[in-house]
Amino acid sequence: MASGPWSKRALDAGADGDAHKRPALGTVVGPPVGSDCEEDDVAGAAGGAAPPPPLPPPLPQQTLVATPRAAAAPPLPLSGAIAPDKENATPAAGSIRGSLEPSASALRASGAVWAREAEMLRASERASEAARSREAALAASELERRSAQLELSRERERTVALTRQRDFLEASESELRAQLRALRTSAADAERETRKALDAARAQAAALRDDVARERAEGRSERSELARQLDAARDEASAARAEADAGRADAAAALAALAAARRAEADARARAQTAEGAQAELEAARRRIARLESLEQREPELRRELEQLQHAARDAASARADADAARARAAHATQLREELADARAKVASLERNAKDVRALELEKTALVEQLAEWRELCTDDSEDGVGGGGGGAPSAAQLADTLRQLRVQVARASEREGALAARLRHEELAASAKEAQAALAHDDAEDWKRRAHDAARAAAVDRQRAAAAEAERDGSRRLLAAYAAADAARAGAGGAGGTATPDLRELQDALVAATARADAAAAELEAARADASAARGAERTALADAAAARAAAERAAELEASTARELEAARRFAIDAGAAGRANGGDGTMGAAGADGTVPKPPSHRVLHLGINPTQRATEAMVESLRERNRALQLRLDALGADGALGADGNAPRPAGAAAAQAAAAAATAAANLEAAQAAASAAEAHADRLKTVFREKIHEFREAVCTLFGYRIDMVDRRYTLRPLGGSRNETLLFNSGADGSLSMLESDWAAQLSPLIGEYLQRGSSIPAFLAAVTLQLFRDGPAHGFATQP
Amino acid sequence: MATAQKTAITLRGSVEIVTEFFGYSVNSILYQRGIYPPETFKKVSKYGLTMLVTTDAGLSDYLEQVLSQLSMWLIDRSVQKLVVVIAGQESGKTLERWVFDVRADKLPDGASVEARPEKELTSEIQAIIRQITASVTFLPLLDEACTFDLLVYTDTDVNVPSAWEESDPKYIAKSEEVKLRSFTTKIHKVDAAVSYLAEDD
Repeated sequence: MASGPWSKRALDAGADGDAHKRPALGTVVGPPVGSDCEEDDVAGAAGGAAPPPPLPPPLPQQTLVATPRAAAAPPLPLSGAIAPDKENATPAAGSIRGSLEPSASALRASGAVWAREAEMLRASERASEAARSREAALAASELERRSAQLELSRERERTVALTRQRDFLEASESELRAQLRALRTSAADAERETRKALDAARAQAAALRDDVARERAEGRSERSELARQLDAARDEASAARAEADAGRADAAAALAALAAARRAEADARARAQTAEGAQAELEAARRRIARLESLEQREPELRRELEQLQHAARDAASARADADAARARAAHATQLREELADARAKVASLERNAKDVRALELEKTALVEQLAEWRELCTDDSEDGVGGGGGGAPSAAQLADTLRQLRVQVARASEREGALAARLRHEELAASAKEAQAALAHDDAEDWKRRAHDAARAAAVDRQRAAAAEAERDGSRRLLAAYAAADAARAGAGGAGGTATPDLRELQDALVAATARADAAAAELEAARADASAARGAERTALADAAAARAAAERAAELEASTARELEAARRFAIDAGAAGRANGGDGTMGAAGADGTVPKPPSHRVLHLGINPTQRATEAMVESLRERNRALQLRLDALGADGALGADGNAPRPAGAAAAQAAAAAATAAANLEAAQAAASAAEAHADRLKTVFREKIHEFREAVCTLFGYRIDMVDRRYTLRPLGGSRNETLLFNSGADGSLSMLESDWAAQLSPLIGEYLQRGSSIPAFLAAVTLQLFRDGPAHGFATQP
Repeated sequence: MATAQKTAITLRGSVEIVTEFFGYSVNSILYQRGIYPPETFKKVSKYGLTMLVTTDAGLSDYLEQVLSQLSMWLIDRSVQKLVVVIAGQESGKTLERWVFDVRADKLPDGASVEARPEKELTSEIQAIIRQITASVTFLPLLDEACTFDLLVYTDTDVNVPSAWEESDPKYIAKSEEVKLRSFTTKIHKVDAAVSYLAEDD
């Protein structure tokens, strides 16, 4: 608030001074009821109890405007009445005061007026302040109201939300309660059912227990019953056994009685039979006697047959032996035949080996000759001192080593050949001896084969005869056994008819003897059979031996084959040694000379080149140049010798040859220099030609580039430049002349006459040839593709 | 939509490619090693590169002769290697050996296999040519005037014309070898390597 008489401070200062004296104006302005107003003095001045009166309209400020000076001292009335202002009193005001007392009442009155006005002002200010405060309060209250409303609305929303939550919760609670009730109900039902089941189970268990007890009791009773029955059964069984024993005893007695009865019966029958049997026996004896008589008649014949059988057996044995011997000899002959075949094969292979040996010997002689040649070459090379061209040429020492190794291997090969030749001869002799033996054995084998065949046939016949004799012998044995049984039976019957006649005994003895002889013959036949089986075994052994001999022969053949292979390898080695010697480091190495005797691998490739190649030409050129140099030097030498013959004073004749030699040397030198100069000239010409070619190419390239870039083909003739646009006719040319100072000036031409506007603008006025040419280019471009500007390659 | 056409390559086609490669490679080696003056070479465009080919008539004839016989031996599958030997003229010492190993697939006569894309083949050949060009950075300087020879390693049963003869393989006594890249036409595989005389430490 600006300072001034209306300022609150001034008014308060004036008001405060006598506020307690001033009466209430009744127009005090205070803040509205309920508002927080800091102007308590207003309410206090009003007494605080009475409601504030309506606010007077605020006084316009301009009516209270006064200068600060005037504020310090109230304006002097015309009468000079001035209220004392102690606060702002100035010394001048004090002096004025003292001089203006007479008008104090007026001053007091005006002061009162002023005070009243000040109060009014204060009140108005208070009112305004109160209004402002009220407004502020209203605003604040409005704000508060709004905030309260907002709060209220929020509260309502919260309430609504809470209500919804509550409803939701209530609903969920009711659901849960219903679920709980249902669960409780179901639980109760389940419990009831469980109880029922439990009761039922208990009842079942009780029933089962009762059943089990009953069954146990029944079982016990049954067991007891069964035990009783068992005992009863045992008693019955024992009784039955006893009865059975008694019965058996009775049966045995009965059987015994029966047997006795049967025996008695049998005795009786026997007695009856013996009586009949005696008769029958008698008849049988008669028949036997007849048979024995017939046998006796046949005895010589049987003896003869037996002898024959014995002879046959002996013959069979001997034949068997002969057959075995024949078989052995046949096997031996077969073996010999096989050996003969092997020997023949060996002879053939050895003959082949002999041919190879001869070929090897020839090769050996060739190798020896090559060795001699190498020796000569080596000695020549070492004498000439030429190291050989190219990198990797072997030295003489290496060559000598190679030669030594080759000699060693050739010697080994020769030794092997000698050993093979000796073996060949030995094999030949053995083969011839074996051949002779084989021939003899073959004849013997044939002979013995025939005999074995005959013996086998005889043995077969003998076997048949022996089989027949055995059959007859078996029959005789059976007959004798029957007789013996009958005799025994007669003897056992008490001799009722058992008296044998002495003749019968003799016949029996003879029969027994014949049987014994037949047995002996059979034994001999058995022995012969055993011998035959032994012979067969021996034959099998002989065959096995023959197989072993064959295997040995095969091994010998393999050995021969390996020997042949060794020979072949030695032959090949000899050939390779010769080839290696010829190549002599042809593949940059000394070759796997095989110091340990191994056969080196043959080379797998050939290295070829054209005979006439740059290296050879260069070498020839160098040789030629060296020859020329040599010739020149020789001529020079001759010339020097000739000069020396003339002498310095000319009197003593120089040797004619020296002068000539000197001249020739000079001529040769000149010729050489001429050749060198010619060569240099030709090189220079070639260089110049090459440069010309290069320059021409470059110039052509540059002209083409200029033409493409700027659209004009530029030709230059003696400082005159002719420009023709691309695609233009022959008449369309621009001519420029180059002056001595390098400046260019345009010359007249037919086409230039058509371009006069451009000439005037860019050349005459602009003095710019590039601009003129650019303008012409654009004009030609606008004219179309006729000039080739629109279309670029 | 266009589909990529699959081309086939025959033995003759592969031989042509390999022979052409050998021709350009030998020319590159002769130029890069300065065996012949640079002014005797002209530029041609091949394999996407600027190749230098000799204009010397005698040299061209010699190369033509060798390459024509080489192509015949390649058709017979008799070639094992092509070696470019560079030797000093006066000393005769072998200074460098550029070895091109050739391995041929055993394809029946008249048969063909699916050709590789030309781009791939060209890039492989390009790589070898670039390596030949770049080899000047590590190969020792040739102080003396040098000459060269072309050696062909063939099978032992090959038919040798009268103009050809056996040769010494011209090995380098103490050499160092650098393996270069290789390329394949699916019928022939060519491996490249260079051996040079190791400098005494």
